Amino acid sequence: MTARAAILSRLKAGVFRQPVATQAAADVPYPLPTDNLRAQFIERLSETHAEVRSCDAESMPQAVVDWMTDIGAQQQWVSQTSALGQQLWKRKPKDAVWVDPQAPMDQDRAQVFHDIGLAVTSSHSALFETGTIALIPDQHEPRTMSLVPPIHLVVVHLSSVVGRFEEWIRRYPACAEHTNVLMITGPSKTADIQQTLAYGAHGPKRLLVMVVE
Amino acid sequence: MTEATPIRILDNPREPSFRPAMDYLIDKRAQQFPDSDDFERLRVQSKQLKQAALSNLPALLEQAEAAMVANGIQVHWAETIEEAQATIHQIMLDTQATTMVKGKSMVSEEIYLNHHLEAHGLRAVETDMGEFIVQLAGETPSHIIMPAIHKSKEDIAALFQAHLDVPYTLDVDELIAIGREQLRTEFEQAGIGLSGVNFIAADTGTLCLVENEGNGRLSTTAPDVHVAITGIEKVVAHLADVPKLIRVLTRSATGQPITTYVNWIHGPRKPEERDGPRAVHLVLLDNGRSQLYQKERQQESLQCIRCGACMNHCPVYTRIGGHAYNTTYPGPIGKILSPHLTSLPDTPDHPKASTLCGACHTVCPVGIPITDLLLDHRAQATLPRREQWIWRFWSMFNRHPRVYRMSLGLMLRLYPLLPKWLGGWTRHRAAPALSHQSLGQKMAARPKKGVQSGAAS
Ligand code: SF4
Repeated sequence: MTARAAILSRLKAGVFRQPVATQAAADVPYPLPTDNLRAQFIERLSETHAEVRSCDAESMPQAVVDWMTDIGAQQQWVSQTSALGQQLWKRKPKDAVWVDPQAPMDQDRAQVFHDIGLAVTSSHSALFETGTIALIPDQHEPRTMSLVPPIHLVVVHLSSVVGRFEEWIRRYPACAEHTNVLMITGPSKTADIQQTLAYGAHGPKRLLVMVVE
Repeated sequence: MTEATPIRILDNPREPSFRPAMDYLIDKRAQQFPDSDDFERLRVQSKQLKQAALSNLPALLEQAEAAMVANGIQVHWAETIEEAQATIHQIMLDTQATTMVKGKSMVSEEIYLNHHLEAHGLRAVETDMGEFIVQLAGETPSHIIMPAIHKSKEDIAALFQAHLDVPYTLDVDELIAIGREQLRTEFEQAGIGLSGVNFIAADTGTLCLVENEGNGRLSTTAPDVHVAITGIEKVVAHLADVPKLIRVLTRSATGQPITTYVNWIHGPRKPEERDGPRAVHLVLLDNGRSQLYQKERQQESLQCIRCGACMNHCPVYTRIGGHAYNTTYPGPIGKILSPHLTSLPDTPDHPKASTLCGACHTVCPVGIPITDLLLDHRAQATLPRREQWIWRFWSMFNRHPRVYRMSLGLMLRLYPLLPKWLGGWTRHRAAPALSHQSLGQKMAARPKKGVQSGAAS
């Protein structure tokens, strides 16, 4: 008998107690705030230790490029094929060093891990409750972009903000068709050394969020 | 599971107190559940979700497997730790990788994976900061969420200095930066990555991982091959159940409303994608779980989502630390789980080493009645003959007041004749002094008080 058959047959021979259904199990609705969503969402983001700026849709590409210039990273990852990336490339400052991430893990990884100072990506949506940003990486913005460089700048549209995780999954059941879905809340962190919180454990040390109204 | 392993309390008297660390975690959790009614509602909900999944476990496992296979994930089943070791070893040989980068996985500890791979000339590198520290020190995790909680900043500084050839520093940011640099070179080279899994959604075949550091994401993104390993009890029915369980998991574990990363994996990279592993494997481990599933009461321990809250709140764990248990899973959950996991040493004393204070049960986000299960373990245990006789006498004395009083009086009078040497107890302490009067005598000698003043005191 294979391991699979043996395990399943033992499980089928057992009976696990059925849960007793009660009223308490229902979800409590969580509506988005109706007044000043922007300010409140920015506050939630800041609580996660993200750095936030905001702009309107029209000024967005330039506002992102300006922020990148302010940071002044040596080499920056900007996708040449994503909708956001194309808008940005049109405004690339002459002396800035921008590179398309290509296939990041199939090239010289040492360079990817050490030389890229910042990456810019778009986002899929966001969760108001926890100040979380949902990313669905694809061939235009591979997942390494939001993971390896020490600074991640992400653009979030206010119209994509959902109340909380439970509603998000109801609204986007098709997310399961993507290879990888990421919910990101603040920069990478750890409290593994004597419960002292430190940022930039393995992922980005800084998370910059551009909120677009 | 050969010989009985007692709880080792005084093995390392230098191990610092866990109190401050536990207070920190207790406090952070409490802030996340300010309203006890709300906690109760969430707890009932999570418990029901886990119980509903478990009551349908074989069908859900089959459904999950079909969904994962359709997504391109290769599913392996392992009845024993040897099978799991061999499966992962073989995948590593097929990949021709010599180093494995590991995200945090308690199940990989349960199967002694690092040890097995090292015995075959392969390297396994822990990349979670806490696990990395523990591995450098040649130890095992003392807590399932905070593996290096028993180490002080000074310990870690000295450890890094000795092993990594870096200057001694007590700056935590610098220490983390050292770990980050060190492990980046591993991620650059590793051909295979391993991770645990927090939840598997049967309807979509999703592997869900939660973490704060990003090493879990790196281990499942940078290498060409990703191997996930988990116990068969981790399956839930719907992807929509996962956010509800994460809600209580991260709040109970580290007092966070959500971890930095929630990572959903649905398969290897598609042809058009530019990164991600080219192959994804999942190893489903049994190791005694299916036998546990057949046990009417004890089966409830399979509901556990490994948040660690029961450890943080346990007065015994806080006092003795995780290593004292000598099992992969320490603390209250370890006491009810370890006896069923066949790879772990026999620990007949563990269920007795509890005050039954119930703190674990009170905080458990999936409502496992840990104290009841401990009592059940005690009831099932066969006591040594001598202990059986002692309890039989004890029960006889307590059922016969006259015999009780007579022998107590005798005891008090003969007490000076008792030996001053009482085995292990007197090696470190003086023998306890008995009172010259029994409690009954003292009570009788007290002036009678009115009910009123008694109630007011
Ligand atoms: S038994 Fe409950 S409290 Fe303990 S780790 Fe498991 S889920 Fe958490």
